[in-house]
Amino acid sequence: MAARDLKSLYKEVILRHDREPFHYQKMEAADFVIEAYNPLCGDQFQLFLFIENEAVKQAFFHGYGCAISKAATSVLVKKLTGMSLAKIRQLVATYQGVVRTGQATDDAELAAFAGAQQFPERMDCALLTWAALDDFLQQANS
Amino acid sequence: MIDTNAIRQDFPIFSGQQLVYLDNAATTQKPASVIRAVHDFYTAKNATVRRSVYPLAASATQAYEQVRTEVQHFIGAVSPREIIFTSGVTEGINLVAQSFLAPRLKPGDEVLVSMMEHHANLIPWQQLCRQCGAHLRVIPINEQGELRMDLLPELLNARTRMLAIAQVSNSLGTINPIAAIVQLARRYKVPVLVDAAQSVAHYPLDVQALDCDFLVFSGHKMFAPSGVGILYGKAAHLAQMPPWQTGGEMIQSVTLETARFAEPPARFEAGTPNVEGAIGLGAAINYLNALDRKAVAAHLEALRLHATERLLAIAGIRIIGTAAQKTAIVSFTMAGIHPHDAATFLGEAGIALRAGHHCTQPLMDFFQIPGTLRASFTIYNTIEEIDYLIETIGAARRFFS
Repeated sequence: MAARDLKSLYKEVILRHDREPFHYQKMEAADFVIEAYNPLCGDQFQLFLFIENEAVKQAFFHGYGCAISKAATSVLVKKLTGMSLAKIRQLVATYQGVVRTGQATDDAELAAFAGAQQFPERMDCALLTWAALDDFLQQANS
Repeated sequence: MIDTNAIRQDFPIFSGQQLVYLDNAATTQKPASVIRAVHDFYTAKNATVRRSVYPLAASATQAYEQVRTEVQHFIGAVSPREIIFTSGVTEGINLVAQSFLAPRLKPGDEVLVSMMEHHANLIPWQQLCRQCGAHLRVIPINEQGELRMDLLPELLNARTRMLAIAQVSNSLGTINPIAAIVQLARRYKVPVLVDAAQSVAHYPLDVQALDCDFLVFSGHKMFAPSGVGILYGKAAHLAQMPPWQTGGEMIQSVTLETARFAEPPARFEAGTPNVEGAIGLGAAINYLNALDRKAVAAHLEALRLHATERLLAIAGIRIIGTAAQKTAIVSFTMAGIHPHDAATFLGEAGIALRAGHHCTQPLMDFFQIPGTLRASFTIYNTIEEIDYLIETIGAARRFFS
């Protein structure tokens, strides 16, 4: 087996988001609460979105998961704030490309998750809440 | 004591790589004798069984039936006709649920399981109860992860139609007092199924001494190939049970309108069986029989004690499952580090161990945790491997802090 570099999976920016997650609190009054759950490992997060005029005004999250899924959700929530739903769709597509195929991006926080390439068994951790948001946006579209 | 160095040399997987394999509750590695038995069968002996009369088929049939007899002796059954080849524990339990219990389960009846069951010994009963309007009752556990035996007499009653229980918990390592449980169940004439998946590799089994009605285990957790397992059933039960799956091999005579079914065990072995799996299972039983099984149990106990002591010396580690009677399965959590992050870190250091809920979600809910790290040991594991695990856990804590 080729040696894999743990530091490429657990980049400093990821460990920092895991330790100090952005907007990590329950907001029961949110307009939308999106549930993300991975039955294989039991990781579970809730996204709390306040939406106004087709844009996310505020976003928060809460739950339990590994460093990868928690940091990925923290980055997501940070990016969402103030973003239009159309822009968010683009963002989600870019991020999924980074995680799944190592697609290049100028955004250092998104690029940090390209390390999952080397650890395909941890890809679902990086995608967990992003995929739940993707489902939500697609339903909102239809 | 057993000679772990010699045992490790029996397992080819350890010769080609640095591997500290601590996921034996999930599946065990295979000794060369098992691999060779499967290889030899395909190389020189392959034919289907119980169909043809040419010499190759006759000797394949003989080898297959010989394993049935070896399994009978291995678990102390009265007759080889009580031994049914399955694909594993899951199939064995579903077979008993559908063929034995379903015809006799009425609305308001009860089925009893425990809080620590693997999903394989929970969901078949849960779904059958839902279909039949019966109630699934659950034997609670205490904080140590031991069955509340004091509550068992109240849970058994005249409506209880089945008690299904693991001999050893795959998540906690708890060894349950099966003989005492069967004795209590007898008072209400409740049949007992024992899930021996986690006990069969390490402890001698005697179904007559246990007096259980059914017992199931999988080959792959006892050094045999995947996809083969055993259902033991008392002959009197099997004789009354209708087929579960139908098709070739399980019939006596067939017309376009009707069929007469074969006697057990053939009645429950529809279709071409996993012949090479059975041959491999036979080789695994021979391998286990050649070990001093008292020494195996002593070795496991030494590993369990050492792992427990060293883990507890690390701040922030909590061991889940601290039963007085326990096998060498040690589940634990680490404060501040998610089980999957720890397992990835340990994996890169060459240590294979499982993180997650171990197919026991209700149990994890009881302990209010999403999952654990689980180190599960067997005959080829060593004290040095545990020391390496502890050292690497220290490195993981430094990495993630």
